[in-house]
Amino acid sequence: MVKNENTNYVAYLVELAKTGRKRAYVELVEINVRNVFTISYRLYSDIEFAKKNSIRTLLKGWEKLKELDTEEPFAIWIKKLAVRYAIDELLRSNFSVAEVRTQNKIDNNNEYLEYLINNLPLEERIIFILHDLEGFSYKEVNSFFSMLVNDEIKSKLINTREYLMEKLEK
Amino acid sequence: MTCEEVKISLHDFVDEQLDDFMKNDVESHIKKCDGCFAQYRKLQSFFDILKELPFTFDPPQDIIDTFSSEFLENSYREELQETVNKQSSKKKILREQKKQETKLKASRSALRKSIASKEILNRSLTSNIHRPFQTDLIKPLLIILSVIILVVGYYIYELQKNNSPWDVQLIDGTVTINGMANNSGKISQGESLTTDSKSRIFVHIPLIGKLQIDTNTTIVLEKAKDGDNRVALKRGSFKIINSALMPDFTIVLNNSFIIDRGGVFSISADESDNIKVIVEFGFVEIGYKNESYYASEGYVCEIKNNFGPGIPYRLNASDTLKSEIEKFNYENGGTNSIQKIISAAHKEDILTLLSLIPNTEQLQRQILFQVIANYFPPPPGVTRMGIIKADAEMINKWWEEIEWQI
Repeated sequence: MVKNENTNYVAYLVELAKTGRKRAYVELVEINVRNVFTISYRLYSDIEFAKKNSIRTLLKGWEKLKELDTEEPFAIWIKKLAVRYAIDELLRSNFSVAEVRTQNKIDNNNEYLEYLINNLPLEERIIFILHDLEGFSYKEVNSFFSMLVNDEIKSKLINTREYLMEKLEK
Repeated sequence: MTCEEVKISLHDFVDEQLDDFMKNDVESHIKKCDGCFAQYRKLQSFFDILKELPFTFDPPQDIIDTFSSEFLENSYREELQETVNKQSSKKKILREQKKQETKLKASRSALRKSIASKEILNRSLTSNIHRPFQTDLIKPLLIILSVIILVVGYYIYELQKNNSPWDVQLIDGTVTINGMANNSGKISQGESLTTDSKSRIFVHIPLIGKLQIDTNTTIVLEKAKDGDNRVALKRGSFKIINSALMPDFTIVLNNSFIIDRGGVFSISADESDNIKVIVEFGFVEIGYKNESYYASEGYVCEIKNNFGPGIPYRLNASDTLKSEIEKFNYENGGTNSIQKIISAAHKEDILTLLSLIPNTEQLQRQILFQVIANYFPPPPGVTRMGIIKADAEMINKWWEEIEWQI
């Protein structure tokens, strides 16, 4: 993932929040809510589930804040937390994306691509979103999937790309 | 490199996972081979399409509100749990204390018995022998020695905490220390520092942060010691920028003092010793005649000479609100002003309304309670009756609960 350092202000807020200042944490939430919601929405493709996951992540973030390493930017840490909670739930419940659109109603490339992504098998979909859309490295994606080795992730991603390219070509 | 090898490496190539050597090989092959170039272009156009997908999504409007209310609810639950834990651990401690005391009593009586029997035995054996004189002196001498060691240790410890002198960083203009031009870059405890109409300086407070001293300002460094740093503002203004979370820094004013509770704020004193505190971030505590007042982030508090701290107001509050607060503070605006303040106040001005409570009659307190509660329901432990009686602890508790939400 692209290195994104804390600004001085965010670092200051993190330090304050670590000492128990709730208001500082609420400010951190306001700064990062869009970031957390976006990754959640990509993974669930459902506004309500994404909102639920975002709130759960932000609440858990407060409890786990003391574990945040000073070297790790807050924005990335909270995003990874959102991914962990989402993946845990998605895999546990074998979540399938409720696709309201049918293929017939899709009228542009973006919508068609989103339709294809949403209909990928769960693991492939998550790997593709994390690596190609959200910019996580192979190593980081691997850290979310303890049961898969690096090469499996890579091969799943390449197959997904080939599949999507082929579908888009038609 | 063969076409098959390029096909395998093409994804690593676009992911920038190849070392320089492999990268060059793939690049030179693609340039020569039409088939592989077409594959590369296909992959590139796929990524171009991906780039067109939205980068972020707008979260639902109510997400922050939902988060805040759940966050608040969890906080209450934690507080409640803490109280229960405290009570249960208190009970546990009492139980353990009793057990311990019983054991101690038992052992003491056993000890007494053994001492008594020993004494009886000794008395019968040594009834005619006197104790040597020296043994009586050793005990008091040891006590005196321990006291001396403790006093010396404490003195050395206190001495180590002195952090004078502080560094003075001159950006522009000149600075005088104790009335004389001084370029030493230091200010020591007990010295005064004055800036002229062109000066721009920073004074660095060890372990705390820095003071940005404005033009035509005089300060006196009253105490420079870790845990107790004090600066008196005689005239002019300065800004405090903290790098410490819990700074030990106090600003001494003519008839009040300001305790830095962390953050960024500025203080100015005019020729009539009227003080203005503007809090940019964090909050400050204002001490006046054994009472404490708080000014929060984004708030201004004025301390007029002979009046004490006025009601704090938001820096961006409406002019009507500011003028009514001025009337209430210094021109006996009374009930009329309170009504106008209430109607001019927005949600963000709630701390102003809360600060009014101790300074109003019971009838107005009832109205203020209702107005504040409409925006921020009182937390557990804060009651309507308590607020009507202007219970300082309850006001403070409510203030703490509102402060982080605004």
